[in-house]
Amino acid sequence: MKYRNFLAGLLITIPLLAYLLLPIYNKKTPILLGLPFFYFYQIVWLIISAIFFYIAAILIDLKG
Amino acid sequence: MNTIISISVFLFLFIIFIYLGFSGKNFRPGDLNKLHEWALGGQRLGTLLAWFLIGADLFTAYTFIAVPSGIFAVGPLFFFAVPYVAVAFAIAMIVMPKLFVVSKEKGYITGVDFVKDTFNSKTLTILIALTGVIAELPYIALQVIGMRAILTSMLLPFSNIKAISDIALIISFVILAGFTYTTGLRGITLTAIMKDIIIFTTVIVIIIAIPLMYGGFHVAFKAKPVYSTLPAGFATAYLSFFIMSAFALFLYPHAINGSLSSESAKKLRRTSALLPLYAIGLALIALFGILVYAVKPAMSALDKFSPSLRGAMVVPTLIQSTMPPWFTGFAFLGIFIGGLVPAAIMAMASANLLVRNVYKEFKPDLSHEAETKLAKLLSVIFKFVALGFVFVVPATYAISLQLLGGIIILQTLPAIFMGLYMKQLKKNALILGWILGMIIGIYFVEKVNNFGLIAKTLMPTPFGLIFIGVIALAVNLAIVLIGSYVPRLIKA
Repeated sequence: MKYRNFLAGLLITIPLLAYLLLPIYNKKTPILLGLPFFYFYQIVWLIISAIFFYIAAILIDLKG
Repeated sequence: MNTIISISVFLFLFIIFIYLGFSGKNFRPGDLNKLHEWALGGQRLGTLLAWFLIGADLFTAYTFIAVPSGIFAVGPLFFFAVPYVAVAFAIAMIVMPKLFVVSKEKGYITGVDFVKDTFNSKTLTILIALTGVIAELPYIALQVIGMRAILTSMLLPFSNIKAISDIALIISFVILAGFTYTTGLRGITLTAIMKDIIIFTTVIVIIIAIPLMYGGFHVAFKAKPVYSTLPAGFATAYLSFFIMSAFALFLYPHAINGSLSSESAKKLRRTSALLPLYAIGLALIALFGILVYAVKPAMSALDKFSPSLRGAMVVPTLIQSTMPPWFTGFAFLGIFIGGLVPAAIMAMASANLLVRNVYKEFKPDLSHEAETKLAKLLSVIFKFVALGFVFVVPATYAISLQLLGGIIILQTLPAIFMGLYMKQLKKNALILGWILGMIIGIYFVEKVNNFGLIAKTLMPTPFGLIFIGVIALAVNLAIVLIGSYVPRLIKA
């Protein structure tokens, strides 16, 4: 149970870190479909966030 | 001719909107004389419906109008709206199910019900309730501003735009008041689904069509190369904006109201987890503020507006100058009800606070029926106060007050969010923290704006520019923690 909670916490924390580490993504290149890295990095992380958060939600519910 | 086609499509869809709003009554029916049936839809929203409703709550005309206009004018700083949403839902999926469980068990309808029951202080209850109501008012006003931008764009060929759009706004609000009064949250949920379908369709069509027609983001960024990355010195501003906005989001009464209408804590958590997907739409609309630089006809149309109005006109103008008239009517209706639907739920949440957490404090023997009746009535009044506010106060002031609203709503964080986890907090410490947080927040905002019209909420610090909400909340938190725990340590 502890292991599941830890994993859920980790899955929620990773996307937050991805956004907090601004210097990593505050860059112009590479460019995708005309969008600088700064923009498409943050959009892609929305999708990853939803996947990670959903798995975390399932893990939290499992502990019953 | 083009205008007539746009208006016809707009009106036709608006009639469907009205029909959906009123038919909410028969949707999973319940006794609408009970407040939790009217205001929380009887708590029967599953994952998908709650997804639409909370989505409608959070992505409003402010998002469709203010974020793109910020990006248009200032550039990447306003893209903080994207990480803000991701962080907000991370917070929501942890905190809100907890609030939901307590609320369902004890029959709370507002977040302030929880504060009242936990800290047992009349002063604190009323302070937190009024903070919510005051923060909500400019938020509703902004919905109206967004709706007006749509009407202005659509009615451009007419000479007396202001008069026609004011009348149109009043009629829309009467209809809205009519169905929220009779159907409550059910009507709002059904219309929220219609709104989302239209808006998502619009976003997808625009984001594909414009790059094909005008060369897309390559061209836009060539016209505005400085918008490619966040300028040096704005990193702390970006981070503090998105972190604080994320904390503020679920303190707003309408967001709490939306969350509490879910069917179970489990469904609420899954809904929140999936809501970052909704934000992809938001991110793409935000990018319209840059894409418009690639579209020459849109840029020249925008030049005709005064600089103060231009920002709000970015999205409507971009749509109108690139799309066929029928599609413009379709998209405009989406953005228009994208303001109307959230305005309804905000008014409803504010009315609940005023009745349950302010009025009832003075008149505790209020019956359930009288309470519901009063909340319904106040939600109508509140909508018209917000509408009147927009007619009287210039748009720029309403936006200023919205900026301030974000800072003041943060001062309710210790009582609501921390109260869920730390039962030892002292009510007097919470009251004092609230007072000083408010004073410091408002003082610094006034100071950076030289005590004039509020346009900035960033403050220079040794670390760089920081959102003033951080400082005000830090002071509040320090007082709450010291006031709650230090006396205990001394005694021990």
